[in-house]
Amino acid sequence: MSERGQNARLRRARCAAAAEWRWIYRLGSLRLAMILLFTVAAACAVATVCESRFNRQVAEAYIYKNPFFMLWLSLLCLNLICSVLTRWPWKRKQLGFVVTHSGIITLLAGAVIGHFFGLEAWVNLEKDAPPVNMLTVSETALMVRGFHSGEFYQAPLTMRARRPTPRRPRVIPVPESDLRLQILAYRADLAGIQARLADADGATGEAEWIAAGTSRLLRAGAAVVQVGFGPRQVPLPFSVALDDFRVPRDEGTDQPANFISELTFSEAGGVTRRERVEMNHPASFPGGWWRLATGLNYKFSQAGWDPTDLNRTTLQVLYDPGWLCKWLGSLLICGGITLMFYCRPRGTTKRS
Amino acid sequence: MRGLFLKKLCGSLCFCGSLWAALLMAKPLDVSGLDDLAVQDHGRKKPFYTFAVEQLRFISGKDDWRDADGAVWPAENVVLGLWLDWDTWRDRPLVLVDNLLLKERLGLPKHERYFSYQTLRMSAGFAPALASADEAAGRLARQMARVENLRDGALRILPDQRHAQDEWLPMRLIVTADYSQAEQERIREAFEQLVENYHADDEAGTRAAAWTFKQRLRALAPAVYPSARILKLENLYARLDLFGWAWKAYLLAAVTLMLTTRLWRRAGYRCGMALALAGFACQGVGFALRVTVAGRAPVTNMYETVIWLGFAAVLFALIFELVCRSRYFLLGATPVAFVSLLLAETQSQALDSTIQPLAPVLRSNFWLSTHVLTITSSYAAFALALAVGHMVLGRLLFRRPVPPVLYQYLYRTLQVGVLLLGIGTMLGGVWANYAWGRFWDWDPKETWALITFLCYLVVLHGRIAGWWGGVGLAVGSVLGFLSVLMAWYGVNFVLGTGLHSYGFGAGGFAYALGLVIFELAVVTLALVSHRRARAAGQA
Repeated sequence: MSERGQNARLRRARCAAAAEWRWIYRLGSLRLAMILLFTVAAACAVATVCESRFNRQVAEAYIYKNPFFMLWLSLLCLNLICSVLTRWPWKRKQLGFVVTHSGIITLLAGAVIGHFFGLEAWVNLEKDAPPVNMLTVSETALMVRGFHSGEFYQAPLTMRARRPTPRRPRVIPVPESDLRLQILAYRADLAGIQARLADADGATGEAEWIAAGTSRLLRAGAAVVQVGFGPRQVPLPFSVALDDFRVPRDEGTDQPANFISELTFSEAGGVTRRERVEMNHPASFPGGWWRLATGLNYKFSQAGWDPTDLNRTTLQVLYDPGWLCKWLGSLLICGGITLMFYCRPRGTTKRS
Repeated sequence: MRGLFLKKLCGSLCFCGSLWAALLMAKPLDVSGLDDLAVQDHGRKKPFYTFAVEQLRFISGKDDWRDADGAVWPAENVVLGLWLDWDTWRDRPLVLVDNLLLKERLGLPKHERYFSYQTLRMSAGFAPALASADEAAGRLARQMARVENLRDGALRILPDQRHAQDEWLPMRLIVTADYSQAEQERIREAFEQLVENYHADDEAGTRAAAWTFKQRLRALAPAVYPSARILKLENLYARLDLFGWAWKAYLLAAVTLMLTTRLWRRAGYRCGMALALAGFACQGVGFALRVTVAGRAPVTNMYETVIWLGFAAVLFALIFELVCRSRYFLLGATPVAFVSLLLAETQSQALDSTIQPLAPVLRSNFWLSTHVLTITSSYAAFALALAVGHMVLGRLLFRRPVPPVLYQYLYRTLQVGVLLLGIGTMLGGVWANYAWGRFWDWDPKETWALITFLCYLVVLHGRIAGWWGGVGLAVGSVLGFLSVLMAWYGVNFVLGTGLHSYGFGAGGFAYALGLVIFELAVVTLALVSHRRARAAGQA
């Protein structure tokens, strides 16, 4: 019997034996794979045009960071897993196929791990300023002062998915009290929100605009709460200070040739280390080769500078526990494709 | 007998006459003695010859200038003329103005393309036109500024004695330099000698004075001054014009291979192979020179990647030919290389051939030569697949039988492309993780690399699924190349957003659009023809 016939018989037997196999075959089908590949490619193409015509935020809101797109990518991942499973038991000539497809799964898994457990942030450093141990994230957040303790509470408040309107406000409880905050509107041009306070009886105070990076006192009856809005802050487990920042230029011009930041990292235990950040040369803390390989450290790369003030630098900070999966997956994909194309056992390459 | 003699006499008289006329004509002075004078310009030091060619290319779009009598003036003479003999040269038509609307606004004759500085300056609408935000006017303003710069002798040739990175000074600011009185005197004396000989049209004198001038400049700051070897190499690179020879060889190879598909197959194949190898060697040496001069991998801007595409396509074809000895690969690769080199040579506005300092993020030879070379090589493999795909579609269009081996070759080239694109994209992710602090963030260039990858995956998976066969591969290789075009050219020149901003540019859109329409038309016609042929066969 031909190989194709054998496979078909195996498939029929499995599908008859168990509903799980039926689903695996359905989800791992080549037809679904083709549809997914095609739609992902088309969606990405639309997104790049969106980004060019409008801006990055539009492309992210509708495609790159849209839950449906994420769902689609998860479906692709599921399709890959199922397609690898349908080949069970794997034969030697399928090595390339299995390696490549599991590489893609590993890579996507790395992306998911990085997304949920990782951190992408910025830090602005100034020369001769005290060490910094807070990072800024590209998301916005609400800062609310606790009603009794006076401590600040941070609540993530993204405006990506659905923007609040006065008819459908977003409601956030005020910590340590039965008051509620109603977010009524968001304006991208001001980067600010409109909010008001509501007490337990439903009586509301006056609505106020809070611009990004500022705070206001909101009232409802006798209650007063301080509310701020701005980029979300994330604490670092160590602190970092800028010792020096240099921008060498191309000869005879003002064009930057490099950006060099000298940093000092210090941990609570008194451990300090000096590191240099250059273009294509990030600094990592804490050090150690296994941390470099797994991404379980904070990587500081040059991200921005202010041409008028050479005492300041902006660094991008990355903490990516998915890094191991990402580079292993990449390696598997490239190796797998090579195996598939060039190392097939003799007698199996010929196709009519 | 007598008639023949008379004819000969007439002929020799004519020859003497034209020789006399040529001698009477203003002949450009040979100023090649200044070729390897170092000039600091745009963030690096280059020989005067390269500087002059770049300036003239910017001002008039050409490497030399032809006067009304037909005499050819090399770029160095033009630049020296503008500097030392402004009153003559400001009236010579040097500045290229192509835009018809702009010419109308300036009140200039529409049929002419080159105008003198003075004509433009004195034209009725000059000031209001240059004040407008029009793109063509902006370009003219930049051209005029270059001419004025040369008039003021803005060549920065006086080296800074203390730091290699500091600004050099032009001759007219010599008093502000930190040289000793004696040094200043020596330089000034040599320069005046040079100018005097130049004005006296004394060729030997100019050469001798140029030599002395160069020696004295070098003696000012021997540690900072670029080595004579590297200046000579760069001149060699510019003068040899090896990429120009390469496209001629590729064109001949392509024609030879095309003409000998039926007759003299063996001889034609050998001849075509030899020509392609000659072109490949020229291009290889050209690349080696450029890499030595620039000190980096030759894939840092659109010009270099276009040339690399041709080179890698021929490289892949030669390797395949070594294995298969079929003429199809060479037949496909030589036109690709020819077109890419010709585009690079003629589209100087969109494809800037000057060697310039890199954006800081690109200054890593390791990543340039791994990520960028791999990616551009994958584009080359896809271009080769496009060419082989065209062979298939052409045969379908004209209802010729397609040799089945062609489908196999198509598959092989697509494999190379997919593998290299995969590796290149992953390497890009790893580089981005180091340089920008993230592996993947849907930057348009990244995203289009992914889209291209997915497109070719669809093509390959469709074949595995049995949805299409060889013809589908051919169509896929042609349509897939359109996504390559978008990833390569479109992101930088059409979309113009994202982090790969160092590669952005403008121009050539009409060509790209023309190619897209042409490819779509070829695919449609070939498929229609194929379907009809099949229907006729079944009937």
